[in-house]
Amino acid sequence: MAAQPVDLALSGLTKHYGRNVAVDSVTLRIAAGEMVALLGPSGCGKTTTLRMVAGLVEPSAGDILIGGTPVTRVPVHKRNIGMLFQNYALFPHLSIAQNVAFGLQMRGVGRAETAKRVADALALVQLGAFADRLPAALSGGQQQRVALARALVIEPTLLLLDEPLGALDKNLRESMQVELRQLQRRLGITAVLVTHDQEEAMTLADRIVIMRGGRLEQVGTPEEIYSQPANRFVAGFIGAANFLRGTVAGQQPDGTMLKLAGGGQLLVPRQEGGAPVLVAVRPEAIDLSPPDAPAPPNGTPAVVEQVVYRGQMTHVYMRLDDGEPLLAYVANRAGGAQGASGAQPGDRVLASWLPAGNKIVADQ
Amino acid sequence: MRGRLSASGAVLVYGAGALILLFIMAPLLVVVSLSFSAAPFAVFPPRGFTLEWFGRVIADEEFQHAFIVSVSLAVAATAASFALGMPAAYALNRWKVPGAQVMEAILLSPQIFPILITGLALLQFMARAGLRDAEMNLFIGHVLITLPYLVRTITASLKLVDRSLEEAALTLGASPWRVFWLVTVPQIIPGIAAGCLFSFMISFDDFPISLWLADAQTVPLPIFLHSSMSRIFDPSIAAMSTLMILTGVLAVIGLEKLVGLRRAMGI
Amino acid sequence: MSATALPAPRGISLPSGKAVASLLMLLPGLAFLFAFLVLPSLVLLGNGFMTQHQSGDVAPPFSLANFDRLLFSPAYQRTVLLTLKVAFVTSGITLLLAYPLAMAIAYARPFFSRLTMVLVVAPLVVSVLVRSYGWQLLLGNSRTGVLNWLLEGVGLGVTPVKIMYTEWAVVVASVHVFLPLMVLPIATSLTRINPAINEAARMLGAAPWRAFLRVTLPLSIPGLTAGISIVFSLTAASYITPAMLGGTRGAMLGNLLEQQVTTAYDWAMGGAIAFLMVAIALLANFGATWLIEYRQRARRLASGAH
Ligand SMILES: Nc1ncnc2c1ncn2[C@@H]1O[C@H](COP(=O)(O)OP(=O)(O)OP(=O)(O)O)[C@@H](O)[C@H]1O
Ligand SMILES: [Mg+2]
Repeated sequence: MAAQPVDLALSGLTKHYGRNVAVDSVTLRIAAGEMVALLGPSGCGKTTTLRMVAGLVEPSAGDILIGGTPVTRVPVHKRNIGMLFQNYALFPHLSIAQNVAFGLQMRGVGRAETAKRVADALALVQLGAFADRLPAALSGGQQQRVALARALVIEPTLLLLDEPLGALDKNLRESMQVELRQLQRRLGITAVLVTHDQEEAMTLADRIVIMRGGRLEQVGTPEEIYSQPANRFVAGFIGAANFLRGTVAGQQPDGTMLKLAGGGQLLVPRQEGGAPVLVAVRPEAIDLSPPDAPAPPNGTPAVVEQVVYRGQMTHVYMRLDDGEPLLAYVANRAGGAQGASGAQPGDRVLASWLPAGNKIVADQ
Repeated sequence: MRGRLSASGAVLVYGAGALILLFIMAPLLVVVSLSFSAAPFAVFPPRGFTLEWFGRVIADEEFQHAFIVSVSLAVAATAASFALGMPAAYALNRWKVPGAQVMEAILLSPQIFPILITGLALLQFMARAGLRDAEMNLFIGHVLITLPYLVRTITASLKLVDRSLEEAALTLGASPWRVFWLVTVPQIIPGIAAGCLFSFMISFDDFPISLWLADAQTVPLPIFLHSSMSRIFDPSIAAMSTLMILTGVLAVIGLEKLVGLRRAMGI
Repeated sequence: MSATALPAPRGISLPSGKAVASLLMLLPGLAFLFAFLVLPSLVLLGNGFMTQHQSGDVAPPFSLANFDRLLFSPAYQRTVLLTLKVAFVTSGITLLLAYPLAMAIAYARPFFSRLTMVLVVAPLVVSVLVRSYGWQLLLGNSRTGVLNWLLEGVGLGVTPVKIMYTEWAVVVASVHVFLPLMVLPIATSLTRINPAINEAARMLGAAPWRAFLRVTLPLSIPGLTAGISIVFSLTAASYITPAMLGGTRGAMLGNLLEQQVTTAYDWAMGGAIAFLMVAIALLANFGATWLIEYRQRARRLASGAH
C-alpha cells in the first residue's frame, strides 16, 4: 500500500514562538523504512517538530527534505504525508468508509478504485465489517485503526504519529503497539512517532531520539540509548539509574580506581586527569550480599531503607554512608516470596556489580 | 451535576426559582389569556372564549403589511449581517490578524452602544445625506443591530470546531478551501443556523431602531403594534401581542432543536 | 544537507496571502460599521457641543451649555438622576432574582435545568413592547389591573396599589425585560466552575453555605460583573419601557432624548443627552471589564507572592 520508501532529513530545524524557542536547530536523518521515536519530557518540542514535518507549523528556520526534495515551502495538503492524531480526528459526520475515502477523493481517484482501496485499507486494519458505521459507534482502539487506514490509504511518503495510543488503556495500547509495528514493517513506510512513554518508544522504534528543551540530546537504537547514555539526563530519563560521583584514587592495569565519598570504590575505564567522574549504574546490575562478605572490588556498603515487592523484581531502596541514595532491582526467581536475599529495612548490606555496569556520563 | 446542591440549598434554589419563573411568565400569560377574552375591552379577568380577535387581526390589511415588512426586514438584515459577519469572524479567529482584538471589539460594539442612539444617529445622518428611503434606512439600521449577534455566534461556533479534524483533512490532501467546506462548515452549521434565527428575532422584535427610521409606508410590526395601542383598546392588541409571543416561542423551539438552548446562549 | 538550496517560493507565499485575504474578509464589515455607526454617532454626539440655531441648523459656536443645562438645571438633572437610580435599582433586584435561576440552570437535575433555561430564554425573544404591554395590564392602577384585581380577590385591596406611571413600574418591567441577560452570564460562570473545587471545599469541612460564599460566589464574579454591566447600561438606555409604564414621573433619558428631537427640535440638546447615554453605557462596560481584569491580576500577584 505504501509507495517506495523515502528518507527524511531535518537540517537546522528551528521554531520560535515569540522569544520562546520550542525547537532549536534540530538536525536529523531518518533512513527509508525506518521508524524513529521522538522521546522527551513534556514541552521539549516533540509535537512542534512533528507538526513542522507535517507542514502544520511553519518553521522559523531550517529545512525539511523528504526523499532529498526540500518540502519546507510545500503546503500541508500537497506533502502527501499520513498523520495519526492523539484524539484520532475522525470526521464525525462521515462514515468509516467515507473517512477512509476522503484522501482519495481529494486526489481525484475514481469511484471504483476508491471503493477497492478503501476496502483493502479497512481489511488491513481488520475493520471491513464496520465500513458503514459512524465513528462515534466505534471503540477508541477501533477509531485509531480507522485513522491508521485513512492515513495509509493515500500511500503517504511518511507516517507521522503524535502520541497515537495515548488515549487507549494499557492492554489495548500494548496490542496496538505490536500491530502498528508489524504494519509499518510490512509496508516499509518511514515513520516518526512522538511519545513520552519510553516503553512504547523502545517497543516500536528502530531508533530513539531523546529531546530536551528543543534540542537533541542523543540519537541511537534503544539498546545504545539504554546501555550507553550520553549524559546524566538521558540515563535518568530512560529507565532508572543511580548516579555516583567518584574521585580518582589510583590507576590500575585494567582501568582507573574511583573512590566514593560513601566508602565504596569503582573500577572504570582509564581516566586521564584528576577531575571527579560521574558514573551511572542501572539498578538491575546491582547484587546485594551480607555485610560480612569480603569487600567487593567494585561496590559500596549501604543501609537498606525500604523494600518494595514488585512481582518479577524487588526494588531495594538504600542509602550510602554519605547520604546518597542507591536503588537495586533484585530479580525474584522461582517464585521466592522473600526475594531480594531477604534484606530488611535497617539492614547493612554490601552492594556490588560488575565493572561493566559502570557507565561514565557527562554531568548535564 | 448530582450532589452539587445540598438539600436545604435545593429547597432554596427550587423555591425561589419557581417564584421567579412565575414572575417571568406572568405578563406573557396575562397577555395571552386576554387575547381569547370575549369582552369588548382588554381588561382582566378575561370573559368567555373567542378566537374572534385573532381573526380580525389576521384579516387586517395593515397588520398583514406590517408583518410582511417585519419578516422581510428580518430576513434581509440577517442575510446581510451573515455576509458581513461570517468572513470577518473567520479571519479573526483563524488567522493571526494584527489588532484582532480591537477589530473584534469594533464588530461587537453595536451591542453595547445604546440602540436608541444607533437609530437616531442613522436617522440624522441619512437625512443630511438626503437619503430618505425608509426601507433602505431600516435595512441598514437592522443590520447594525444583528451584526454583533452573528459575529458572536459564529465566533463561538468556530471556537468549538475540532482543529485536529481540519489538520487531518489537510494532511490527507484537502486544500484549505475544501477543508473549510468539507470539514469546518458541517461542524458550524447548527451554531450558525441558531445565530441566524436569533438574529432574525432581534430584528423582528426591534422597536428603538424602527422608531426613528420607519415612515408611513414602511411600518414594521412592533411600530404598528405600538401605534395601535394608543388607538385600540379591545383585545385585538392582546391577540397581536400573542402572535408575536408565538413567533418567539417558535424561535426558542427552533434554537433548542438546532443546537440546544444552552449552546445557543453560550452556556 | 544544509547546503541544499531552497526553491524559490511559488505563487504568493502563505503569510502575505493570508494577510491580504483577511483584510478583504474584514474590510466590508468594518467599513459598514464605520459608515453607518461610527460616523453618524460622532456627528450626533458632536451636536451636543454645538449650538441649536433658530434656522434648525446645529452649528458652532462650540459650547458646553447643553451639558451644563442637562446636568445642572433641575428639570433635566432630575431625569438624569432618575435614570441612574432606575438603572441601579434594576440591576440590584435583577441580580437577586437571577442568581437562584442561574444556579438552577447550572446545578439542578437536567429536567429542571432545561425547563428553567427555556423559561428564562423565551421572554428574550418576545418584543420588549409586548412585555411592557403585559406589565401595563398587570400593574394598572384601577381595579382593572391584574395585581389590584388579585389583591381585591384575597381581600387586601382596600385602596388600589398605584405604582403604574411611576419609576417603580419602570423598575419592575425593566427587571423582567433584562433578567435573562443577567441569568445567562452568571449561569455560564457557574457551569465553568470545576465541581471538584466545591467538593474539595466540602471535604475540607465547609458547610454548604460557606462553600457557596467562599468558593462558588467568588468564582462566579466575572459572570456577575458582566451581567450587572449589561443590565445597568441597557436599563439606562431604555426607551419603550419607561414610555409605556413611567408616564411623566418615570420618564428617563431616552424619553427626554426623543422629546428633545421630535417636539423641541433641539438637536444640540439631543446630542448632549445621547453623549451622556453613550458615556454611561461605555463606562458601565469598561468599568466591569476593568474590574474583572483587575481582580484577576490581583489574584495572580497574590499567588505569585507566596
Ligand atoms: N502555538 C504555540 N504558541 C506558543 N508556544 C507554543 C505553541 N506550541 C507549542 N509551544 C511551546 O513550545 C514548546 C514545545 O511544545 P510541544 O508541544 O512541541 O511540546 P511536546 O514535547 O509535544 O510536549 P508534550 O509531551 O507535553 O506534548 C512548549 O514550551 C510550548 O509551550
Ligand atoms: Mg506533544
